[in-house]
Amino acid sequence: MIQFILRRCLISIPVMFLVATTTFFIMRLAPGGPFLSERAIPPEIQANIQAKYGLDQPLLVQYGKYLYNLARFDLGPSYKYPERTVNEIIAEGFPVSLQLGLAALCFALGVGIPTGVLAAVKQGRAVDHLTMGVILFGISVPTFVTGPLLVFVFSLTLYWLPPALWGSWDQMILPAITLGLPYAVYIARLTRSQLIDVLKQDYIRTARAKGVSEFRILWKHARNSTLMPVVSFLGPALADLVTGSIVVEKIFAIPGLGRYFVESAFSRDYTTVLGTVVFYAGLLIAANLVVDVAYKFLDPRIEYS
Amino acid sequence: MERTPLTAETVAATGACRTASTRHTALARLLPVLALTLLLASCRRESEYFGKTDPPEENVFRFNNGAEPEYLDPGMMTANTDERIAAMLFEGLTQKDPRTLQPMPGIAERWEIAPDGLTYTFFLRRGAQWSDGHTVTAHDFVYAWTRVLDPKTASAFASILYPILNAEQFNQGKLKDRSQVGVEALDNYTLRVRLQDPVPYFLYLTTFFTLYPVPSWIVEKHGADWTRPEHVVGNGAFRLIEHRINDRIVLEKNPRYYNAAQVRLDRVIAYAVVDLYTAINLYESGEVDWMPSNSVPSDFVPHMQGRFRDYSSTPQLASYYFTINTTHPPFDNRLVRRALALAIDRRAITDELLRGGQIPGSNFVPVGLPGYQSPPGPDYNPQEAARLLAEAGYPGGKGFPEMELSFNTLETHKRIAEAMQQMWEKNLGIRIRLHNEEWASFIKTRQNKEHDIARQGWIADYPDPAAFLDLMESTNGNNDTGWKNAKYDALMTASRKETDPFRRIELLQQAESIVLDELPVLPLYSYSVNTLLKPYVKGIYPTSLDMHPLNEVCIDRRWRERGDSPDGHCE
Amino acid sequence: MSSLATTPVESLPAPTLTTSLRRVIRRPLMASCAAVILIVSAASLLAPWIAPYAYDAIDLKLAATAPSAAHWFGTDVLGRDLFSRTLHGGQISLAVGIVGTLVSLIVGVLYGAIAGYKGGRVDELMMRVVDLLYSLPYLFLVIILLVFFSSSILMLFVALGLVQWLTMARIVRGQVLSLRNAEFVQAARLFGTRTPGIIFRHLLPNMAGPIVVYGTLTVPTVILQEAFLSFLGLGVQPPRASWGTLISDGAGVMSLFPWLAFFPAAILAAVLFSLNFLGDGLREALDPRS
Repeated sequence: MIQFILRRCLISIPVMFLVATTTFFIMRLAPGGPFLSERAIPPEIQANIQAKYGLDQPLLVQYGKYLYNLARFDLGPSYKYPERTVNEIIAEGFPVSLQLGLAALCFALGVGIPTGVLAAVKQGRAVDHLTMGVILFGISVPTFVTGPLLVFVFSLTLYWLPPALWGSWDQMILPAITLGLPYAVYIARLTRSQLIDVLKQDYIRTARAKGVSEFRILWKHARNSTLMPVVSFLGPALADLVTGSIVVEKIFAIPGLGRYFVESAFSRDYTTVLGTVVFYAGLLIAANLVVDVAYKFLDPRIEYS
Repeated sequence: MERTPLTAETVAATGACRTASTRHTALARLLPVLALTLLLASCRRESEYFGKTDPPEENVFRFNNGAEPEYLDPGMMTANTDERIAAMLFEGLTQKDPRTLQPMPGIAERWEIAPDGLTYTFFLRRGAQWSDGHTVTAHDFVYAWTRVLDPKTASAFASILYPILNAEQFNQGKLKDRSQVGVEALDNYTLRVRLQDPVPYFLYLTTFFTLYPVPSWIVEKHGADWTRPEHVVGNGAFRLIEHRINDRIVLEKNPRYYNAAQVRLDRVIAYAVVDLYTAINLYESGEVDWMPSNSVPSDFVPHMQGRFRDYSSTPQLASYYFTINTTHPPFDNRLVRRALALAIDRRAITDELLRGGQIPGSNFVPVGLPGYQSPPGPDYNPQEAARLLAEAGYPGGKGFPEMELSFNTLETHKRIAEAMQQMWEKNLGIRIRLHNEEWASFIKTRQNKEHDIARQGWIADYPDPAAFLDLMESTNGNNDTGWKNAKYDALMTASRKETDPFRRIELLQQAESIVLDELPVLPLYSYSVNTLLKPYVKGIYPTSLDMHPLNEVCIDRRWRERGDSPDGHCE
Repeated sequence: MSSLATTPVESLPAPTLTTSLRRVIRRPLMASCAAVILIVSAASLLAPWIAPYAYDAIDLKLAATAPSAAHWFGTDVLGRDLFSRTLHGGQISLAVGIVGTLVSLIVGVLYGAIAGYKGGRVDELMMRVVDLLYSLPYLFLVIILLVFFSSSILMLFVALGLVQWLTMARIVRGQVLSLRNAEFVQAARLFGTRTPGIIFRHLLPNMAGPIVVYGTLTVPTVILQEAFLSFLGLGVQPPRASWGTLISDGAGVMSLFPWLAFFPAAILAAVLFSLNFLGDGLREALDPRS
């Protein structure tokens, strides 16, 4: 197991390298730059600024320095907010995105699994059709429709919940639902179809024949094999939650990393863009690793050669 | 038809299909959503005010500042989002009267102006302190101003100081000796300023953020980091206690402020909500008390006027126009530019599209400056426009290269751009591509002259026609048109030397008529400021420069008894 | 109905694409889904002829009017006919969905087929690469591409297609692995058919089922991603609009002009719903276990 984790960590190094390199060169190949603008400033001052950020050096030297700093986890100063470093920006924004993602995930699991189980147990009956209908509808509506709709109903008409901002628990509810809804839907579908399969298995039939209660069957016998696909879905889901949160962070004015990323891309804040992309890549790798480990615990039959 | 047609219910009952999903049932599911939306919309409380009107529990004032400030350093900043924060942290020689914006005593108790209009002497008050206990002295101003002018600082607004003797030469590196710049501290409490030209608006400039004093010992110690909450030292009515990027800036009352007794707010929170729809939701639900500077989304504007008492629209000394890059064909041709200008139906844009109290006009200097009247410009005339374009060699738009109209990402700009695109296509037969960019990169595109036509808005820094006409001088750093006109430059230089106010206005009018003939820019309208202000907030008044000193703002908990006028008292 | 869906097929090989398509289409709900897709696609395709107004015809006097006989879906804030804009928007959204999916199919199928057929070291290496690429923050890279190199429609097609090919590659590889030792493949090999011939003439036709299923499910994903990019201002540029831009324009003013978001969102939802449903149905029909 430990060997497996170590190997995966080793493999991730070239991935990070790839991400860093691709992003770096995409940005340097792109037209325009962060400091070319200040026409009102005399040329010698312009040169001073370029030198300060090392932009006067050959591209490969810049690239080398960038990799060197990256290896030391130093992402440099933000070009847009000269008073901040990228490390600080990530340290400020990521916890917010993480809170949002976890809240959404809690919502998705808390709603998705019970719904899926209910639909599976009542397979073929009205409850099943109704929930699955709602569910398919749920993935067909983009978050930037559900978000404003929820705000309209719960913040502006009923005055129950704040329409935006981040800080208190009540400000988390609407964004978490908006972000989590498509995942709740997906998890419910996954749980339902998997549980239906599992309930057809011989060992469940045997248990039923022995007179084991339905609840005990679900909890004792069907639980792990039902949750397997849900767990393996969590890895990509977390990745999606992170990117999906860009939209939710915009709608609800949440100061998360997704919004920083988009805004820094738009304002050509090279260092922040690079920093966030590399950071997210690392995050994705870690998330996938955690999922694989969790998978192993749920199903010890899987071998990691 | 062999099989019995199945209804949705029977399908669901037979279990052949997991869900009912015919087109009808899909619609049937969606329609209730629409119905619910409409129902909720109709049963929302009808009120004279937009949204909640309960004052916050604490003595705190919350507003949406819009974009995240790039700088809190008053010497570096350029945007009004940055200015609103700096105006709370710092105070200049003079401060603005909240109603008229006229300079009134600030750090300077009084001042003398020599009869030739070239020498100003400011006498500083003795009780003024920085928030760390240092005394505010004349040396702080000398330090701050020469720092802004220092080429190494590379401040984008250094040109605001150019009326000062030798300031321009020093800023451009032609003069190395900073002591020759016309600002000196005669003693700790006396500041003497000598001007290059007797410009009448210099006193107003002393209220301006670029001229705020800064604490030299903090700036030198912390460098670019000096404006962080843990370092920053100010001399204004508030001090910075929290700064979360892209989220909020929290300020609290500065107990060391010389006039702290008059400051009635305990705290001010400035949010950085960029999305206007999100912002107005925050206002409606009572999370925000003030929406300054056109942060009301343009779709809402036509529905607010005359319906909500907390909505107001004020003409602003600001001009909305398009900057043409005149350095390459076809826009190096005056006829083409004139054709473009004549083909714009400005009234349709203000009265039908925007409907927010903007004043349409081809004038470059906005309407509303006391004592100034713009010369006539190219008003809507599609026939003449088509004729000129033909004369320029593009009859009916034939052979006209595909050009791009750039604007920064904002719904209003997008709509205006779409309307312009259509007017030009209809009236001239030319096809212009639209290109939107985020603010910072848009600015850069424009300043690098990588644009063909770019949107521009200019808000007066001081109430004087020169605030606009200076922009078109060939040497001005904000002239992104590439347009140079020697006669224009000469007129502007002459206006600066002129001490007779009437003669000066005439010179400026002549200069503007050159712009309106050559048209390196296409003016559309004078702005208006559409604002939402909760009825319990007192001390914020409509002003033509959209500047609102917040030092004396207060929250009136008993506004329902005393009325919603901003003049009210809070005790 | 039930007799159609539950025909015992356990003992049979995987049903072919055409038979399962036929079987699926014969179910009325599936048929309705297909009809929705066909009608909307046809209407979008024919938009220049059937749209009552030009998609960019501004009439400021008609700004934001509610649905009426003259304007079935109402008008937007510039007075443009929303019905016409929705039809034209459909062209772009569907084109993005289809082209994006095709790009992902071409890349994914080729990659997966080669890996699966070659097997061994090559397969190991190629699949490791796919694993690695899975951990790239794709949408971020797409956003960077679109921001830095201006968002042309072509760029949108390619960028979105490249996000999707990985899963396709995995699916195809799995299929090829299970087929490469089948008798007909071995026979072809005996007759001296070269690798490309075997892949294109023998393997791919036998995998059409899963490929079509996954393709059907990819189209809605790509359409949603385009909408997502539109919401960030990176989709098609005005005056053109996709469903995504129409919805994101309408979402902010939901309380004032609910129809602006409702109609494009309803049509988008109906199409995505139908595609997802159809894809699911096809998958079930193709799965011998069902």
